Amino acid sequence: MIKYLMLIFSVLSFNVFAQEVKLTAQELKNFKERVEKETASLNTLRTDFEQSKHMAFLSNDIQSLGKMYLNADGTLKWEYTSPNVYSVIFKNNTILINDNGKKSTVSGEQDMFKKINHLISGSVSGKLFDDKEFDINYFKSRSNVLVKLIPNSKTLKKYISEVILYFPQKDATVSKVKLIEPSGDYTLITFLNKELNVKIDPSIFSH
Amino acid sequence: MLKLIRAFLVINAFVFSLSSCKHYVVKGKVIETGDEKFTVPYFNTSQKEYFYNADIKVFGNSIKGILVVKKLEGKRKRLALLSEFGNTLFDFEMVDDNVNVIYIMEDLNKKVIVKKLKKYFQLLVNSEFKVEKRYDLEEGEIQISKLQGKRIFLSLNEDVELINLRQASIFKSKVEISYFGDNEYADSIAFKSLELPITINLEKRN
Repeated sequence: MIKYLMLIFSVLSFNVFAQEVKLTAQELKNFKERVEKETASLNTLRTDFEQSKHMAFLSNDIQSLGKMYLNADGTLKWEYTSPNVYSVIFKNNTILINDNGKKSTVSGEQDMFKKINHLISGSVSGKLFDDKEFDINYFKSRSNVLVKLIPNSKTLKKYISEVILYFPQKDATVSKVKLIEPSGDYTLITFLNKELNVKIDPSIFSH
Repeated sequence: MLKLIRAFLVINAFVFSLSSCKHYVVKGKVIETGDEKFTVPYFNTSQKEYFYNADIKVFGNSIKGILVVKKLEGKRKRLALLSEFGNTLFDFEMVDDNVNVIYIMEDLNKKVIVKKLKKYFQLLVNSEFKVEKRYDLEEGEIQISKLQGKRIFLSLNEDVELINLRQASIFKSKVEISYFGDNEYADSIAFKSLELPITINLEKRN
C-alpha cells in the first residue's frame, strides 16, 4: 500500500512541476516589459546553437551544431559547423548560401523566405510579441516562460503548426526554440554561449 | 520551388514522349536458377537507423538535405527527406509493395512528382528481389529480377556483394544505383535517373 501511495505521490508531484500555467495579466506585463527593455538596446547577437530534429519513428534525434549571428538591421547568418559545413545569410532580401565552399545566391523576395527570416530573428531577439502573423499565448513552467505562437498565415502554416520560445525565468533572451511541424515532429534549437552587443566583423555577413 | 515543379512537369512529359529505344543487354553465360531470392544488404537491418547527407540535383537545381531510413518490424520501412534546417520535405512508409505518404510538403505534393518520388525511393530501399535469371561474368555475376513492372539488373562482384542496380524497360534503361564502401551501411550511394536529369548522391552522415 505504501508503495502505491509513493508511486501516486511521485506521479502527481511530477505533473505539478511539469505543468504549464498561463501567465497572469500582471506577470505578462512584467515579462513583456523586461524583454522589451533588454532587447531595445540589442544591436548584435552571437550565439552557438544545437539543433535537434525529433521524428516519432526514430529512437535517435538528428543533431547538428552551428553558430548564429544577428544584426539589429535584420541581417542574419545561420551557420552549420557539424556534421556538415553549410551557411545561409539573409541580407537585404537576398539569401547567400555557402555549401562547404560552394557559393550561390538566391532572391529572398519570396514570401516564405521573408517569413522564415522574420521568424528566426524575431524569435531570438524576442521581437515577435505584437506580431499579427501569430496567435500568441504565454505560460510559465518551473524554470521558463513559454511563449507559444500559432501562425495565422497560410504560408507558414504549411510548414509550422506551432513555435514555442523558451525564456529562462531570469533571462530576457530566448534559450530554446521549438518548431513543431503539422505532422507533430519538431526541431528543437538550443542556444548556448550567447553574447549580446559584441562586435561582429562585417565579413561574417558576406560571401 | 514552383519554377522547379513546373519545369519538372513539362520536361517529364517531353522526355517520356521522346524516349529513345536503346535496349539494355547482358553478355555472359546464363546460369540456371531455381526459386532464388536476392537480399539487398543496404537499409535492411531491423530497427537500425540510417542517416545520409543527400545532394539532389533536379533539372540543374540543387537540393541539400538529410535522408533518414529505418527498417521497422517485418518488411515495413520508413524513409524521410529533411532539409538541413530540419523540416520534413516528405515522409514515406514502405509496406510490402506499397508506398504510403505519411507527409509531403505542399510544394512537392503534385501527382506526377509524388509518383516519381515513390518509385525512385522504393527502388532505393527495396530489400528483396526474386531472381529470374543469372549471368556468370568474369568479374562477378548479374542477377535479373523485376520491380515496378520493369526488369532489374543486380550486378554483384566476385564476393557476391551488390555494387550496382539498374532498372530497365524493354526499350531503355531507367535508373542506375551504385553502392560504395561498407556492404551493410554503404558509405555512399549514387542514384541516377537515366530518363530524366535527376541525380541523388548520398553520403553517410557521421
